[in-house]
Amino acid sequence: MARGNQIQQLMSDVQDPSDFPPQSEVPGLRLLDSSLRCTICSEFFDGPVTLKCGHCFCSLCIRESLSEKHECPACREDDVDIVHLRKNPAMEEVVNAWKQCRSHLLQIVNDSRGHVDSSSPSKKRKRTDESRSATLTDPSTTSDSSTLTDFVNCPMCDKRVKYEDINSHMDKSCKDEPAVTLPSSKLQWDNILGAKSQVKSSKKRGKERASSLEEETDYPLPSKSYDTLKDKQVRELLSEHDLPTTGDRKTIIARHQRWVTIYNANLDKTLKMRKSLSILRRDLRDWETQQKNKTKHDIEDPTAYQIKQKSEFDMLIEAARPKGTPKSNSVTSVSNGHKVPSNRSGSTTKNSSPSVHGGFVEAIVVDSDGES
Amino acid sequence: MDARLRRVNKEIADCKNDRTSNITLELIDNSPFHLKGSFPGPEGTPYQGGLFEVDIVIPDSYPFQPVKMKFITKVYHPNVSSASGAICLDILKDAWSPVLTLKSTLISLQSLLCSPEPNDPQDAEVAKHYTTSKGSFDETARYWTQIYAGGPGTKEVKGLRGVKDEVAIAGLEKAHVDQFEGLGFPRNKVIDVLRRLNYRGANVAQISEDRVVEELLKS
Repeated sequence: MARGNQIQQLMSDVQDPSDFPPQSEVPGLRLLDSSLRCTICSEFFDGPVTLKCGHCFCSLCIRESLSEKHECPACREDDVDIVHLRKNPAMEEVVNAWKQCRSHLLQIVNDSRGHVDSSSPSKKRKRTDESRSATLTDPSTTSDSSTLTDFVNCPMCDKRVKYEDINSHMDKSCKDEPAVTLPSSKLQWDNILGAKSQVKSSKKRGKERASSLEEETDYPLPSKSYDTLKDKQVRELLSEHDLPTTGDRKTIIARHQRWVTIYNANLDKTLKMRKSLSILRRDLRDWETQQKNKTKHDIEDPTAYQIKQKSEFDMLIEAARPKGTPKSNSVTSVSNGHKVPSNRSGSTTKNSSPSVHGGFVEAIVVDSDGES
Repeated sequence: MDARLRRVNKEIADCKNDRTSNITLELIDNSPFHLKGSFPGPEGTPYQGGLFEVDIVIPDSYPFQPVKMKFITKVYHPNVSSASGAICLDILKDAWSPVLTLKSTLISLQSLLCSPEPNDPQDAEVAKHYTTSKGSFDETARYWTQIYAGGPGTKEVKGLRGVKDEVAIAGLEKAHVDQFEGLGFPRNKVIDVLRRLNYRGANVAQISEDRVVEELLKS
């Protein structure tokens, strides 16, 4: 049960397509939410790029994936390289719009579902859902759905008349003017023009920003062949971008590689979505601390390590020796941590003291007996 | 929260929300990167009716490196080690792709049970059994499903079948069972121990008789 709770906790802050009702209840919404997500990180596309085959991923995700293997993760098309990535600003725009309306839409959907459960029939609910979501996104769909649902052809004169006016229209022997439709079509035009002018203004803003940001270089950083570079040169590359130059060769190369990756991935976003260089530097720092936590430290000289840790090993052996004693937490965790070096020393070195080694193996066996 | 944890969270949530696939995921210890997955044996196969559990370890560089999976439940299958549960499947090795998920990988394991690949075996003995006599292989696989994966008809099998059958179905050699029975151990105990030790084929050379006797005395 405790485990179930843990999973519940993990899940509590997860936003995923299942927030929306299933296809059978509200068609399309869940599908839409999932198709705007990168299949590598399962987040919304962040700087979407398209491959030769047309599959779309976050720029950073696909760059990391291509560094492992040169193929499209979705269709396995061969010989895909970073140079084949193409920005997909249209997708980025859609994702941004969707992010903006998502919570709002979710609320509307949930409200209307709750409403439906209590009283009104399901058919009506579906219609209101559609028209509401349509107003949020596109003026043209609104007009479409209203023509489809609110207007009918008069059986006598074949004119399109509002559904609620059809009876009075026929009572008047089709003599009322089509005044009903005029204002609404004018409204539609207004809507469209209004929408367009909005688009214009936002574009302008983008351009203004572009000019202000033009000092920053827009070109991707070239990837380096580090084998031909000396430590000093790699450090110079790092300091060019105001990055820390500390650490050994492996660290600084990894740092520069990562910097090139996140820098170039950032360039795949539209200007207004890009992160500033200082934020990128912070991201790099966060990534490095994460890496440090992840990598287990390698033990270079197992014999020296064994001698150095002898007192600790002896303590563990002592603690583990009496069979059937309840194992304490500290014993198991430490012994797990040292399992690898001890195995290694067994295979690589012969001068390691046998008593320590043999005793340690025994310690592990005793430990596992206690578990089973 | 890093990207790996976010993605794993979503995958666990996805499995929990999906009730049609019958695939479950649960935590083994406190880490979300060590999980236990389970799926039902595919219908129309000797594995039908069993529930197969898989140990899942999510590596640091997931999803760019494949997940590590091995069967916890013992499975009699050419591409699964009958001793360790290690799995021979391309997508768990070089054919991994970051768009694959825990769910899709578990579904792939399920379909691996449907379609064994004896030409690329993980367990050569089982594969040989599969290619030489499919019928007898199916019977053993069914027996293992009943014994280890909680398949149907566990009790009937024990009651109805003869002793000789039991040896064959457990995938053991009659000569081996006779040999240890000759030392004075009860037959069912011998079968039990030999099955547990996986005393078959090439393993016979590796497991000394002393070790078997030792186990027999222990049990």
